[in-house]
Amino acid sequence: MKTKRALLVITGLALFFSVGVLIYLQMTEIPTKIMLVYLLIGVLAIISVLYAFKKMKEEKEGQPKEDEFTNHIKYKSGYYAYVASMYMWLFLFLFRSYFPDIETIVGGGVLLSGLIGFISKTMAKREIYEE
Amino acid sequence: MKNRIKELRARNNFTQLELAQKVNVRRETIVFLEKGKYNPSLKLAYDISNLFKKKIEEVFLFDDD
Repeated sequence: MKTKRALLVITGLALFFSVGVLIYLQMTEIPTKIMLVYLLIGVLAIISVLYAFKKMKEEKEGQPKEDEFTNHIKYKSGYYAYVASMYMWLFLFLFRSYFPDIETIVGGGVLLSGLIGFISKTMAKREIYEE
Repeated sequence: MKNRIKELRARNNFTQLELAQKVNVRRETIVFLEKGKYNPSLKLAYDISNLFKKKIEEVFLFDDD
């Protein structure tokens, strides 16, 4: 499990580094839409690295990876993320003419799904606070 | 549902982390439980009560509402 976490950290850092290099190489002219995709990748990479560090700290403390509370959050946020993702793909399909090509739509959709997952988790936790 | 986890934990000199480790849950779960923002499963309620050598109804206070 520790190896998995370490791999997550390395992947996150590598991803972030790659984005930095890509931006640097293309610094002359970056289209706004591509810049937004890079930004999204960067945000997701930072979140994944921070999350991995938090998990590693908890693992050192001897806390279990998941318990009944985290499962409760997981099921709830999974449902929210599924519904939100369906709407996201619908909107991407409806506004497909605004995108340069199909790769941008699919890539952006996949990245947005990750972001939606994170937001759903936060929402599910907040909802439990209000229950 | 209210509970006396915080009070009993302090009385037994447990930190949140120690209590979490003893009942095999994450610290975050104890935080939410103490704030009364999460209702535990019957098993977790039993484990916590058992740890403090109390009955479930002495630790978890059920409202009629």
